[in-house]
Amino acid sequence: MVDFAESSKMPRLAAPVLPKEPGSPLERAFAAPVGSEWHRLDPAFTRYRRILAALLAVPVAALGGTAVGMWLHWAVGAAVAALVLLAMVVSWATAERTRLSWGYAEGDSDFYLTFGTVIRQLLVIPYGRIQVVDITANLLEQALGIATVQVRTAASTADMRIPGLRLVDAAALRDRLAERGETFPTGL
Amino acid sequence: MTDPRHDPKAQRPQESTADQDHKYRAWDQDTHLGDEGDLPVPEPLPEVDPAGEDSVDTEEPLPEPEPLDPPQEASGESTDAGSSVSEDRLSPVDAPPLREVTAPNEYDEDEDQTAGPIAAWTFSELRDAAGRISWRSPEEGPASPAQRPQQPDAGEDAAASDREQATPDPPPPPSPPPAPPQRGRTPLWGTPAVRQAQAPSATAASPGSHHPPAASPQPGAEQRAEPPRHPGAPRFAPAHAPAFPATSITQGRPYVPPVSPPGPFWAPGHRTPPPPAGAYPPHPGPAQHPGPWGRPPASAPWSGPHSPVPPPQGAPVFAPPSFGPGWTWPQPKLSMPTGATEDITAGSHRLHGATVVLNAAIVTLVFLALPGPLLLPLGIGWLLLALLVVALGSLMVSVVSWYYTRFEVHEERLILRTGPFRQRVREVPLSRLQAVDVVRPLFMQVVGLSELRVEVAGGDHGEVRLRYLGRRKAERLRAALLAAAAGLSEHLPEAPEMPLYQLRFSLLIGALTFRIPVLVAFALFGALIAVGWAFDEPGVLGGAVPLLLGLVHGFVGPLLRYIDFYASLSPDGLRVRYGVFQARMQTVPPGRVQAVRIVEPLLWRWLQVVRVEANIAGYAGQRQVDSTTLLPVVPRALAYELLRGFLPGNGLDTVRFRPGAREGSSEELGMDDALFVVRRGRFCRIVEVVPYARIQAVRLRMGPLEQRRGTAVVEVEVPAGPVSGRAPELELAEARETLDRITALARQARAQTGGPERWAIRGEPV
Repeated sequence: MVDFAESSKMPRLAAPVLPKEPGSPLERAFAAPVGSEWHRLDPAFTRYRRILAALLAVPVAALGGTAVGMWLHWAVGAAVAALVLLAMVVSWATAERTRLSWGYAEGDSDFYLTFGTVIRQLLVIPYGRIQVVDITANLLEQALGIATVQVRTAASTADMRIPGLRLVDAAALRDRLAERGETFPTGL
Repeated sequence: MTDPRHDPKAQRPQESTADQDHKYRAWDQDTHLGDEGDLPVPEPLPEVDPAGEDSVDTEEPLPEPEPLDPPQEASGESTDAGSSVSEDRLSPVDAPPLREVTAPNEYDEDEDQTAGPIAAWTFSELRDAAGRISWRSPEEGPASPAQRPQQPDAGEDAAASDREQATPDPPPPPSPPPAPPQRGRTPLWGTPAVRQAQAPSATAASPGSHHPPAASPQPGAEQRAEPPRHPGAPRFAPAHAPAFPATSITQGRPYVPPVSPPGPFWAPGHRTPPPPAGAYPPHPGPAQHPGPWGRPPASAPWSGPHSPVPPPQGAPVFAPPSFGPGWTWPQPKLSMPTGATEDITAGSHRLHGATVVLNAAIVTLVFLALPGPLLLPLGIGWLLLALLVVALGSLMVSVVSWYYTRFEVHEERLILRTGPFRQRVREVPLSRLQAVDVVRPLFMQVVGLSELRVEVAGGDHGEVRLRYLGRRKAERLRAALLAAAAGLSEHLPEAPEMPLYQLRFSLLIGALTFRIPVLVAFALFGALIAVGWAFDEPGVLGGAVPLLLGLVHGFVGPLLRYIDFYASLSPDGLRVRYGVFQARMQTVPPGRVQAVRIVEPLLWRWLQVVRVEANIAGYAGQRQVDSTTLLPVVPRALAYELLRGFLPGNGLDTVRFRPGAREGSSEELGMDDALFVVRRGRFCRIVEVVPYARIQAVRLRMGPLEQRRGTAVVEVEVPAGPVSGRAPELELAEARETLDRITALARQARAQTGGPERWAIRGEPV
């Protein structure tokens, strides 16, 4: 266990109560805060990822494969096309897993965000630190009725975002985040 | 959302506010060394300015301090412990306003002031200046204005008149606000300076405010009646002598590395006490007051002059300088050129007129240098004609753009208007100000102009550059901006400063040389030259070019940049001046330092020196490279002492380190109740320190490699800068536990510290 917990100088914090339900250590480590569960993304996000993969991969495979095939050899072109299509298939197959890897939860004073299948991450953002909450939706997202919520802090990195929320949910989340940001004013 | 979890009101029971408030107060009463009881409550400052209409601060009494939204604690006991510990640090200090009206730095038209002000002071002078302060006992109580020496004015002083002219509108300048009941703690650099610098304001209070013009016909008199400077002391001296930080950090005198004994040229000449691993002598001041948690109330030392906390007897080291009746700060004679009468805070201003000529000259010279030679074949006459056209054209353009560029300081905003045709108005709220730099390249030093850079958090183009201003105007504007950002009146002149550290050139060049890459590069360079010369093969010299570039980057650049380095503390924050060829004066207000890191290259361990860098939110891009080094070369002991004084909590001493989970890694993670510390590096040791109060977000990351090892990495996110805040790998469960702990501690810290805005008049933590 963590060594510095025994320091007499440490304020006594409640030991973090991790969920007791069965689950791998990994799931416990990336669990939602106590008393809440991860809100997962809308199923439309899976469709979004798949359509996106197809929209990207098919033209790239066709054009790139043709170009490379004409430039070098038809076999190389075919290989390139096959690789791109393979990537598309992988992306297609993992779309559902990706969707389930995203999750957000609203803790008492912090906003929790988890994502990533290969590199799993858990991000804890205090409400007071949130400076900007954006909602964006590109054409495809609009067609599917979903949107992306992006959260910015002073230490912003690009990955503080939640894709694939239904538009209503996204707006509600944005409003709640903004409201709580005012409740915990800490600024920079 | 109907989910109750999403309703913040449902989550935050209101009575907890009252509870905690009560707890805070109870804590105040019984643990704080008789804070409120034993000694007279600070008398309210005599009276406010008669007009009093523009001192907003005085009119509106600060609201009753009450803790903001009580942080939601996971459990009751954590609340208890947390608030107690916090109050320990946040001990209420009845602090007078921190602004002091002192002499702005002396100006002299004939003297080149580019050198650091203190540069010419000798060590003994500095020590004397500090010693004169530290032996005074604070029992004498705050000075009442009547007791203050009012010397008849002998001769109209230019400075005095200038001071009045500098604050012309509503008769007297607004007073600093009366002492707010409590002061929030400003993490990092702010607090020590703030608490200390309240001191002078009690006595050398704003002449106009506490002495209405009728009572004190000559406001400048008392200022001028200061003890004379040391003969031969530099004329560009700090506004008053060093006091607290110097006394505390360096045991009673400002730190100037003593002259080195003859030895190797790089020797620091200075056997610093052993590194901070507990080998320090106990910190003199706080050790006298063991706090209820076994650690000293860190804020006690910074009690203002009104503070009833008696200083530990026999240990005047941490004692606030006393300000008995008649006490006056040793100050340099005021002599401000009478020409500088413009009030920077009223109306709008233009840049310095020479900017026009300068811009036109630059364009013309560039034209002459680049397309000029191409025109030469056409004949010299054509070239001259083209040159004339370009010069006139650029002159016209720059006149127009100069005419339409105006700035003003208005209602805590810096408003900048540019553009003749497409007007652009930029308003910078000064509460968001991150740092103010005054930059003077060599040529501008000759001409006497300065560039003012105002950093606000907002990406790469967040800064406002005013170039060029007259030197005086730049300094005055800087003072006004910082005063406004601190929440005080913009009319107040430059805040005083305490010398903190002066870097000797020998130490700078020695330390910069004595690093492995530099030494290797020098050796290789020498070898290449020797080989090329011995074998008469100049082609070898081609290989020296990258070496030379590397040396320029790693040795010559820092050497030139940090010549004449001088750091001081002021209520405005940390002031750093350095550079001869490009003189810079950087001011980092309190609380704007987001994270600190101490870098100790391998060979520097023998020199016992380190480098201190910091994340400051305003600096992005190239400025981040330029400006994040707070102290380029500083003795290690002093660096740790500084951190101990500045950082919230008890410095790095109480931090307990534990190694990461990964075998063979030298990374260590340390946490205490205020700091998140990471130590890494086998050869070049790096210590990164992030106060919890500055954490923006916490991240738990597990990549494929960590997944295989069953570990995860905790990262603490702070605004961009040299500090990355990445903790070593920990076992998965531990990592999550650490993350939760950091989150909880950060929540506490945020609730206790508040933001850095308006740091001077902020009451209870926001």
